[in-house]
Amino acid sequence: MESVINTLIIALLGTGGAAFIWAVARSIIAWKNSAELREDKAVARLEKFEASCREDLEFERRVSAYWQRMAGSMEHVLIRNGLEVPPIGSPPQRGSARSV
Amino acid sequence: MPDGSRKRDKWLRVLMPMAYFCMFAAGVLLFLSDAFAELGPIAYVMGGFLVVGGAASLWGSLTEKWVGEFVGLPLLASSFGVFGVIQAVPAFDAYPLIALANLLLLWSVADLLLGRWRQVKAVSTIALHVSEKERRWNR
Repeated sequence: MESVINTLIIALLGTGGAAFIWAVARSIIAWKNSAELREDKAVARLEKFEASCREDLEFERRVSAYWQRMAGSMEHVLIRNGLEVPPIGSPPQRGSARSV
Repeated sequence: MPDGSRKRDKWLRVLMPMAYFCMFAAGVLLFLSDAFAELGPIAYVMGGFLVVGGAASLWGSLTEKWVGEFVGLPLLASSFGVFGVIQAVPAFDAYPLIALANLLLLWSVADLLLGRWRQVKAVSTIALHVSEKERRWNR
């Protein structure tokens, strides 16, 4: 019985010690990577990063829309002058990542 | 919009450091006790875990830096688990149910501490993830 208790105690201490060493290593990595160490600011920084990603996405959409309009007006010019418009293929299918 | 000024609940800013201070002080008191030496090296390791874990978590909760609790809580949870066993074993023959109740109570505290550790670990994952993404973004 005593050996079981000793094994249990050593397992508990060993697990705690191992988790501590792992946590210290991860904290050092975080510090070296200039990660935010304050709890509230870590979340705020995530939100800020997410907002900047959304802003970039919105910009890309605007760029894409601009070139779509440009392509449309060029097609219009081609058709008005009796020229053949190059085929644009079929529209992309929902659920498929492949572009046609 | 995020402005980085999110504040933690003011009661949490008092209650958490108080709890960690009590754990730290318990570890110091154990070291000061003469009877503690009779328990052997395991007791010293456990007491050390309480002192180091309590101090780290106290610093983390006072400065609101996740690193402190992230490093300290595994030590505290482990020492609560061991303390439960050390308390229960000698009392088990005379008062088995009370000894078991004490063991379960202390293990439940260890479990709660591990639960809090999981929350802090999630914040550490966010912090590391964001710093990694920002680094790649700015490369």
